[in-house]
Amino acid sequence: MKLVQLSANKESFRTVHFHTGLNIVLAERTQLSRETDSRNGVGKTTLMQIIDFCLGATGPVAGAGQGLAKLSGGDWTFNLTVDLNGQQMMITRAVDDGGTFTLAGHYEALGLDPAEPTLEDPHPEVKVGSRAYTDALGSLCFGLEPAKLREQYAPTFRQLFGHFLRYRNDAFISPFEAFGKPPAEQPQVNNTFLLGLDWHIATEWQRLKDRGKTLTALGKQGIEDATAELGELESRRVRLQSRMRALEDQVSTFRVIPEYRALEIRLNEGSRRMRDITNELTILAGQVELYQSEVQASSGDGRDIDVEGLFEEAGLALPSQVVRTLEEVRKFHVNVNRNRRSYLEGEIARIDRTRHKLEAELRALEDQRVADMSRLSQGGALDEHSKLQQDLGSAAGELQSLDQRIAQLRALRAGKAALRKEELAIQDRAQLDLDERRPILAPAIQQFSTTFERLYGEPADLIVDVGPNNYRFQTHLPRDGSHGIGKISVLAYDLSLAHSLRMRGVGPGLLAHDSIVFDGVDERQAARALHLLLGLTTDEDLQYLVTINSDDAPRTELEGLGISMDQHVTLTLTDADPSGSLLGIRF
Amino acid sequence: MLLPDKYVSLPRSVLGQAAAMLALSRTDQTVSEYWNTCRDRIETLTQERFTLALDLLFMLGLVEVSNGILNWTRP
Repeated sequence: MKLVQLSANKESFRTVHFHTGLNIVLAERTQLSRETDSRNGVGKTTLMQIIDFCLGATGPVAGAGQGLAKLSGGDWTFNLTVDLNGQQMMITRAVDDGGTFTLAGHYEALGLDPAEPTLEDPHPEVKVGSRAYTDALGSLCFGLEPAKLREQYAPTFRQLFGHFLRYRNDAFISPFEAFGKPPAEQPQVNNTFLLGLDWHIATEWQRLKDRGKTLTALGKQGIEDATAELGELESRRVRLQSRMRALEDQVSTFRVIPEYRALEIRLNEGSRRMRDITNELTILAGQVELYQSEVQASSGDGRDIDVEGLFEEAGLALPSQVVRTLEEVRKFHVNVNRNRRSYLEGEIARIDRTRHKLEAELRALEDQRVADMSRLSQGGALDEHSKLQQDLGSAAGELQSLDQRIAQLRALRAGKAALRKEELAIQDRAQLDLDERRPILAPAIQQFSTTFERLYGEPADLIVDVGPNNYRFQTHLPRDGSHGIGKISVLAYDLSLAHSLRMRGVGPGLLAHDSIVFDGVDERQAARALHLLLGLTTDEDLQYLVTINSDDAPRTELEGLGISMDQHVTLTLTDADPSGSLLGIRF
Repeated sequence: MLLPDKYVSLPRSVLGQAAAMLALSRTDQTVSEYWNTCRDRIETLTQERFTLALDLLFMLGLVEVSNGILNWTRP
C-alpha cells in the first residue's frame, strides 16, 4: 500500500501529493516561534494523525488534549488516496462521523464486496464500519484473519501498523513497543508475528499466564508451600477423625438417665440427712445411758436424793421463806417420787422409740442411696449427652472445613503443577520454533546491523531469544555519545521489520516516522540514514515518510552524499503565516 | 446444789431450775404432765433436779400435791 494523496474538504488545507519513495515533510520555524511547544506548531504531527485517522485510528475523544479533538465540530473531512498494487482507492472519513469510512475507486483490492455498478456510476462508493475496514486492511497488509475468526490475543491491524506509523511521544521509547505501556502480551504477539515467528506460541503463553492468575484465587502459595500445608492438614485430619470416632462411640453407648440430676440431688440430700440422723442418734444414746445409770442408781422412791441437805441449805439461804417442816418435805418428796422410776423408764422408752424410728429411717435412706448410686452408674445425665453431641457436631463442622481447605490446596497444587509443566513445554516449543525459524529471522537481524554499520560504522545486534516466561527482545547498540542512538534503534528495527515482511511477501510497504526519530541524532548520522532509506525505497519498493524540523535538516551532509534534499521534500510547512500550516488556519 | 457456785451455773442449780419451772406452772396438772412440760422446755433438766426443785418449791410453800395433782399457791 502506498500513500498517493491527502486532501480535506476545506480550501485552506494544503493537499499533500506523496512521492513513491522518500518523502520529507519540512517544518520551518521562524524566529518568533522558536520557544513555543512543537505541539502548537505547523501540523507535522497533525499530518501523521490524519493519515492514521484515515487508516482506522480511534476517532478523536472529546476533551482529549492531543489529536484531532481540536477539529471536532468543525466539519472536517479527510480524503486519503492510496495505491493498492497499481490500483487506486480513496478513503474518506469525517471527524464528526468517525464510525463511517467511505471508499471509492478500486476498493475490491481490500476484498470488500463492491456495490452494484450502474450506468451513471461504474465505480460507486461503498461505506464500511471501522471493524470491517480494519479487518480488510489487516488482511491486505499482514494476511490477518478477520475478527470473527480471530483467537484471543491474536494480532490486529491497528496494533501491528503502529510499527509502521510512529509519531506519538511514547512510540519511540522502545523499538518493540509501538504504543506506550501496552499490556504485556501485546509486544510478545506483535513482534513474534512481524519477525516471522510462530505467534500462536505467544498467545498460548499468555493464556497460560491467565490461568496462573485464576489459580491465585485458590491461594498464593507455591507448590512446595502448598504441599507442606497439605501435610499438616492431613495429619490434623487424622487426629480429628480419631477424636470423632471416640466421640461417636461415647454418644452411641451413652445411656441417658432422665432423672440423673434429680437423683444426684436426692443423693446429696440423703447423705446430709443421714449425717444428721447419725448425730442425733449419738446424742440420744448418750441420754439413754444417763437415764439408765440413774435408774440403776436410784432405789425407785427417791430415797437416794438428799432432801435433807437441800432443806438445810434452804434453811440457811432462805430462812424466812421456808414454810414447811422437814417431815412435810419428806412426805411430799416420797409422794412425788413414787413414780420417779417409772418416769425414768418412760423416758428411756420414749427415747428408744425415737431411736428406733431414726434407725429405720437411716436404713431406708441407706437403701435408697445404694439404689440411686447403682442407677446413676448405669448412664449419664441428659445434659452430658447433649454436650457430647454438640462436641461431635462441631468436630464434624471442623472436619468439613478442613476437607474444603484440603481440596482447595490440592486443586491449587495440581493446577500449579500442571501449569508448570505446560509452561516448560511451551518454553521448549518457543525455543524450538525460534531455532527452526532462524533463517526467516536472519534478514531482519542482518538489516538491523546494516543500518547501524551504515550510520555509525559499527554493527549492532538485534537479539531474540526465549526466556523462562516469555520471548525476550533486545538490542545491543554500539556505544555512542549521542543521545539519539535509541531513536535510531527504533528506525533500524522498523526497517528490519519492513525488510523481513517484504521477503515473506507481506507488509504494508510503507513506513512513517515523526521528527522525534532524529531527535539528538548527529547531522551526519541523519544524512546517512536518509541516504540508506533512499536506497531502500528503490530496492525494497518501500515508501518512507518523515517529518523534519528545518533546523535539524542535514542539508549539507546530504549534498556531501550526492543527494539534493529538496528533491525529496514533499511539503514544506511554515508558521510564518497561518496558511503555511497543514490545516491552513490557526488553532 | 441449791445455789450456784464455782462449779454449778445458775440454770443448773436447783434454785435456777426451780425458778424456770415456776414459770411453767399451770393449774391442775399431774406430776407426770408437769414433768413432761418441764423436760421439754428446760434444758439440762434431769429427773433428780426436777425432784429437788419441786421439793424446794414445796418448801417455799409455792406448791403442794394431792392425788397426783399439783396445786400451785401464791403466798
